[in-house]
Formats: sequence, C-alpha cells, structure tokens
Amino acid sequence: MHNLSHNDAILEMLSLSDSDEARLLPYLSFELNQAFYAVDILRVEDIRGWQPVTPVPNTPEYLCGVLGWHDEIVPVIDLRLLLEMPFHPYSKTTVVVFLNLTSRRVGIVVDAVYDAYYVDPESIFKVPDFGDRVSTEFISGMAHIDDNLVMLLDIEQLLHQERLG
Amino acid sequence: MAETLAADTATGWQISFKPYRTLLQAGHDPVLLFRELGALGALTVELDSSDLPPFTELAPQDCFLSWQLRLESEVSLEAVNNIFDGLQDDCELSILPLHNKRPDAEKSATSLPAARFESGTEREAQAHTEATTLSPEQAIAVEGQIIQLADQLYILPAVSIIESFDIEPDSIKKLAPKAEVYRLRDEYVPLIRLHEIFNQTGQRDHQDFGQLLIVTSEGQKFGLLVDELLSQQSVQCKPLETNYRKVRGMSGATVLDDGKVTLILDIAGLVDLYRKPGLSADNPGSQVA
Repeated sequence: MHNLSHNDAILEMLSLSDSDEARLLPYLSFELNQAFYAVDILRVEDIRGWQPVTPVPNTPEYLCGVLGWHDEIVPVIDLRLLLEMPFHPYSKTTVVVFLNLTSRRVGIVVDAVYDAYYVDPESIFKVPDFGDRVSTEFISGMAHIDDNLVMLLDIEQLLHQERLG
Repeated sequence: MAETLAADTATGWQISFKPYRTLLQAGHDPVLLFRELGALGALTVELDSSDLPPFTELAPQDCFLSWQLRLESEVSLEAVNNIFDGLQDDCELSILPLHNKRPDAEKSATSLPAARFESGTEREAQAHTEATTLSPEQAIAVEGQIIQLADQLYILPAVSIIESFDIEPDSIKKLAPKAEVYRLRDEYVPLIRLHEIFNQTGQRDHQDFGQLLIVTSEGQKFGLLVDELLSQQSVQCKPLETNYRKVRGMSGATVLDDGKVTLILDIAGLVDLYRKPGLSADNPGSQVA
C-alpha cells in the first residue's frame, strides 16, 4: 500500500512499473460522517470546493441540485443523505467530487477529501454481513490505510441510474 | 430542386440559409448555428460562394457566403426555427421538409417569417409545448423569459407566454381550498401559484401580488403567478436526463452569463403538477436504502 502526497500522486502513478500498475488499484479516499470511504480514482474527473447549486424542485432530498461543469448540467448528490446519514452543514472542507460513470457524470458531496492511494487487491477484505443493521451492498471491500479502516465504494452501483431515478 | 425532393424519402429539413452582409456584424456565427443543427441530427452543409466579390472588394466584417443545409432528423419545424431565433433581420431563410410525402409538414413549412410563430398566440404556446421534449444529447436554442420565484430564477420559453401583467387581487376567486381562478377580461382561467407546486417558500407566499403570466396548455389558458418578471435572453436548453433524469415541469437547464445554472420550465409539465399535486412527491430515488 502506498501513501501518495496530494500533489505527487499522479506523477508517482506514472513512475510505477508496469507490473505494479497492473496489480495495484488507485483510490481516492474521503471522509463522510467520521468514517473513511474511497472510490476508484479513475472515475474522478474533478474535485471542487463546495459552491451553491441550483435546487431542482420536487426531487429527492439527497439531490442538492445541479451545477454547470464544462458544457454539461451535472446533478450533485449529498452522499451523506443518499446513505441515510445525518445532514451536516457544508463547510470549508466540504468538496464536490465529479465522477465519470458509465453513462453519465455525477457530483457527490463529501465532508472532506483525504488522500490518494494505491491499494493492493490482496489486502482488500470482504465486508462482514451486518444484516439489516448496515447496508453494505454498495461497498465492494475494505482496506487498512494509515491505521484507518477505509470502505471501498462501488460507486457505479451506488449511483446507478435506476436507483437515482 | 423539386425533383430532388420528390425522390428523397428521408425525414428532416432542407434549409436555405442566405445571410445578409451584416450577419457577422450583428454578432452571429454561422459555425455555431451549424453545430446546434448538427446536434439535432445528421447535417450536411453545402457552401455557396457564388456571391463572393472580387478580392479587392472583400471586407472582413461582411458575410458574402450562403449555405444549403440538409438535416436528417425527426425534430419539429419549430425546433429548427429555434436555432435561427434572433436572425430574422439578418438573413433570408427557408425551411422545407426533405420529402413531399408529409403534406402536413410541407404545408407548415415556408419561409422564415411565416414559419415562425408570432408571439402572443395560443397556437405558438401549444406548438412550443409539443416541442419541449428533448433527447438526452440534444440542446436547443430557446428564447427565454427569466422569472424570479423567491430566491431562485427560472426560465420560461417566451414563446409560451401570451401576456403578462401585475396581478389584481380582486380578480382572484377561490372555487375550493386548492382551486382558484383569475378573471381575465370576459373569462376565468385557473390560477397556478408556482411556488406551491414547487413547494418553494417565497417572500410573497401568502399575498396576492406579483406577476401573472397567461400561458396555454392543450388549448386551455392558465394564469401562472410568479414573483417577478426579469429580462429575456436566448439560451441553450440542455436536458437534465443526460446526467440525471427527466424532471416533471422542467424541459432542461441552461448556464447563464454569470455561470449559474437556471432551470427551464415546461408548461405542460407544470400543468400536470398543478392538476395532480401527488406528482410532486414522485421521487423514485427516495427509496434508496
């Protein structure tokens, strides 16, 4: 597992040997309700500080609204609310992570971006079955990073079009 | 030309676009127009440079070119007309169907001034309503009326507005707890309070003043109450379903000059929300675990 500095993350990625690059999985980690999550960094297109969005009437509460991103209108989703966590007022550390999914772009609001990592697939372990206590269907696995337990999100599944409507 | 059209079985529009010399000076860019048309379907562009003067008479600020455009698409005449919105004084334009097996389409297609719906008629409002459904990748030009509702701005297609004026509280009659009409000269029209169907708290929520816009849907007039009428602006309507989903009452969104995203309203959808208040709670995504 490699801890990458924010600025040198991409450069270090490029310097990896072909075998490492093929084997290790790059992730972007972030904080949400005092827990750590991570998404496939190859899905991340942009990270921006929180800025007011245009609310869309008669849509679910987790849809903060829409933002203009390059030439597109992109929905911005509060990941806390989508995962049924309590709302937390947006602050200076709140960021919108723009993700490129298979068929569309979506922005997710998270408490703070943490770091970029390579994760060895062999170090990823399965999520225990908590039954109805915790919904784990959107978590593809867990990993220890910097003494933190990080949940690796299956963002494609979580933000599936049929799920969001 | 007539023989070509007769043999053509494709669906779409044949557009003759002959700009006046002043087109560029008026701030129009033919390339941008072609890009917008290209977003509607398969576009073939044929340049006509026969009006080019001798080199010594060329003026960089003048337009000497014209184009024959062939657009293969199922889009309506009005959708094509919208692309050329604002160019009435700067070009000669004719839009004809690609083939002559659609007598209704051919009948409706003619040169620009006749094909364009004059503002302030019921026909135009209804026609616009029918043209507001976009495919996910399409963006069309809309002449928009910016309106304010509480602290939010929205855009209503200007073509859908018959008239607007300050509301007169004495002309509001309540028929039922949730049904009001507005006396418009010798008729009564249902009164739609936009902030109610958007569940939006406005500064004027419980007061009977603001601007009333008279619009039509399916041949019936409605009064749409908003806080304020602002400016008119030509905007690019981008569908929400490209990255999210269709939202009832919205035909899309646009980015205004200040960078803010503004939603573009769809009259037919608003009337649906008014007639069936339960649709406001139609949130398929709210079932997410």
